[in-house]
Amino acid sequence: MKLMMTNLLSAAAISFALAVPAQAKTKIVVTYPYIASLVGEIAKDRADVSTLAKGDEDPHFVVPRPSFIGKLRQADLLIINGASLEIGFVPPLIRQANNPKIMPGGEGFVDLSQSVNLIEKPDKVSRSEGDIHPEGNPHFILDWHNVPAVARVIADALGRADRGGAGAYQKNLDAFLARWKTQSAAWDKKAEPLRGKAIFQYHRLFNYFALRTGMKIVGELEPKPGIPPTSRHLEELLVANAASTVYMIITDPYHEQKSPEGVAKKMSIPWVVLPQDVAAVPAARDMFSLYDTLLARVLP
Amino acid sequence: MIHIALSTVLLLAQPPESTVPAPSGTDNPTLPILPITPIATSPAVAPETQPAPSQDDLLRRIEALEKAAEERAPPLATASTAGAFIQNRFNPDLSLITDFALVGTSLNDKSAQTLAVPGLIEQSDRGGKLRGFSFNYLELAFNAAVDPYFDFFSVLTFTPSGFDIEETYVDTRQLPFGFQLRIGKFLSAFGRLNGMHQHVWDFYDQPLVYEVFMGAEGWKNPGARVSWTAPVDFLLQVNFEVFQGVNDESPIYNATSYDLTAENGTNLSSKAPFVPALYVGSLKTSFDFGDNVFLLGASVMYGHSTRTRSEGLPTDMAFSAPGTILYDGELTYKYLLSSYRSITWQNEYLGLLSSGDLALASDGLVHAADKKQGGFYSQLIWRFDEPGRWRVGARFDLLDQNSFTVDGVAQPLDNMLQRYSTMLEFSPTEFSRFRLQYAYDRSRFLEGARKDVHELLLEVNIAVGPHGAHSF
Repeated sequence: MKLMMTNLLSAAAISFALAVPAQAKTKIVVTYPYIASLVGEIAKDRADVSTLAKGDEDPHFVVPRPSFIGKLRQADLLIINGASLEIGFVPPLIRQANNPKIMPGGEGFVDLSQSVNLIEKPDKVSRSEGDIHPEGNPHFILDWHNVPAVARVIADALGRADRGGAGAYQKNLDAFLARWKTQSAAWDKKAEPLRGKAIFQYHRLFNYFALRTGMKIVGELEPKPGIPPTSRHLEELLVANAASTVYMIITDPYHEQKSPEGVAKKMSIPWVVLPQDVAAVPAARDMFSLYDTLLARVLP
Repeated sequence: MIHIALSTVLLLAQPPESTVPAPSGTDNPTLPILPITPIATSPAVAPETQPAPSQDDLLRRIEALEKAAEERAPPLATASTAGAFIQNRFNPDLSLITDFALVGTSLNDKSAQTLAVPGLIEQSDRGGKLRGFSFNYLELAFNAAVDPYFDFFSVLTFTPSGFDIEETYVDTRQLPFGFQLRIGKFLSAFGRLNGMHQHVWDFYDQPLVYEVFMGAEGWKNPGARVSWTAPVDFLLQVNFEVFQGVNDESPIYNATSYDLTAENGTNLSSKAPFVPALYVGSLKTSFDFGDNVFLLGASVMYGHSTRTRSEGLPTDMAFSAPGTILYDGELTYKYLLSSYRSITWQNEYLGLLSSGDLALASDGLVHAADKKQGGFYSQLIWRFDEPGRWRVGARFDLLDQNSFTVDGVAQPLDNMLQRYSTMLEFSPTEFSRFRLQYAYDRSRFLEGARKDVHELLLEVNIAVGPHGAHSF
């Protein structure tokens, strides 16, 4: 027992010693790669960013690696997507990190979904409807016009966490937003041929993207969110859409590919894997190439 | 009417409450920043770039908006004042978890009552393992932030044998330097499994080492914990706990006195131990190499062990050992195959060192007794299908050390007590789970003779309420 206490005290002493140089760079933990990419645009080299999820992981089912606790323990900022997307893995990590800054309600806890208008907010919530999010559809980042609001929130949070860098963050944000404005206009134009096209998707994932491009989602391979496709449901989809023209099936990189492939074959339509995040597919390296890739893969 | 309906809809379409400034809208002059929402499902502003709608279209839209507004808008009077003192949004998160099983076993229920693990358990608790249908528990879990300084957790359990406050405690939210304080009644952080609730166990039952040393439901007691998380890029966590140490359900630790009348009329008794009597220290660390995740830990429990058998028979006895040590070493390795699939290999060794007084009713004397017992489990779990709904696993339990000496004389006790378990699990969602388990148990004794037990169990576990977190 004495040994235990001595260990504890010496470990505590080491931590205090380590804490001093750690102040130099703002330590930021983000849940998804797209957030890291945005932080990179705004913070440049002023911040030290750790990302919990990998781009090709199912964002709902990120394995809560215990090593994340150590990263959260040191974080000045925790930036999450929000709208319950991280509900399965972030809360227990926060509880064990013993870091008041990043507790919900703390100054360093940032929920990006608060800055965006979410769609598909259910009137009633019941798990009989599958994995639904009471706050609305959480995949808002797939509309490029939601990015500026999110970028502003990030710049604001960075400025609060590191007041000395506020000027630099504002400058970088302005530069980013200017580039984004040009790009958005280009994407808007590029997306025009997609307007009105009917598509299937695997999960309720690309709804914001579909709204932005004007594509109509006429079916999901999942019978209900989070429930894997059944042959009966797929059969019903085929029957219901036998008379109409479905343009293509879009899916993500982490779900099984057999169902989309099978349905696509039966309907003689293409199916594509779209990135739902930065680094979900190799071509989506950053925020800009994410939307480039999304559009390139669905355009005729 | 149209005007009122539309303005209500526009009000409803306002952005949600936000702690950040609303987007200014300067980024795109032609498209609104807020996402476009189809009219039929939810009210929102129509995009400006769509082709000019026909008059019919517009009429249909107005109708749809009116209908949506009627369906959604609460009557103004009730919306303004009736809810003034309603506080249900402050209600704690409440989850209900229940567990049932269908049990088949080679052991008849009568024999089950007197099943023992020699030197460790005189009468196995066979709750949940009697033939036929078994209702195991209904658990109510509450949690909420108390205020900016504390979080509150509570787990109440109803079982066929009664009601138990399994845990009820507060955690601090604001302590600096990586410290956290917990006060209340709670499960110790000892070992890998003790802090885990039953519904997240990988098998129907606890490993044998937990059953014989920690009790079937783990060590829980009133006390306090200080935990410290190190500021490093991997996990390094230290916990120090102090518990009252008085616990009738624990197979080892119970800081009480004994009072025995021997056959020859001598009174054998001990003084009440000083309380709080139980101390636990544990250290955990975890690090990753790519998709290989390692979790290691060491724990020590130190406290007063008292065990008595007092039935007015010559076999009555009392064992009292003030400085009893239980130690634990754990190693978990997890290989992440994909977002859903993984292989987990988990191992834990528990050992007991206990020296004290053995008072025997048969001779009326107090003898020096020494216990050295220990064992381990090793289990492999494979989550093997793509959406991650199926798991298969195997566990090997072994008690390899079982030594008990009285006045230096070793007592004849069996060691190498084993159990083999396998399970197959299907979880349609994270909220429901079916598990089939088969166990071949070679650790039980019936009236002094080894009694091999076969068990086949089908377990159903159901959880409703807020989303639980995935366990690592």
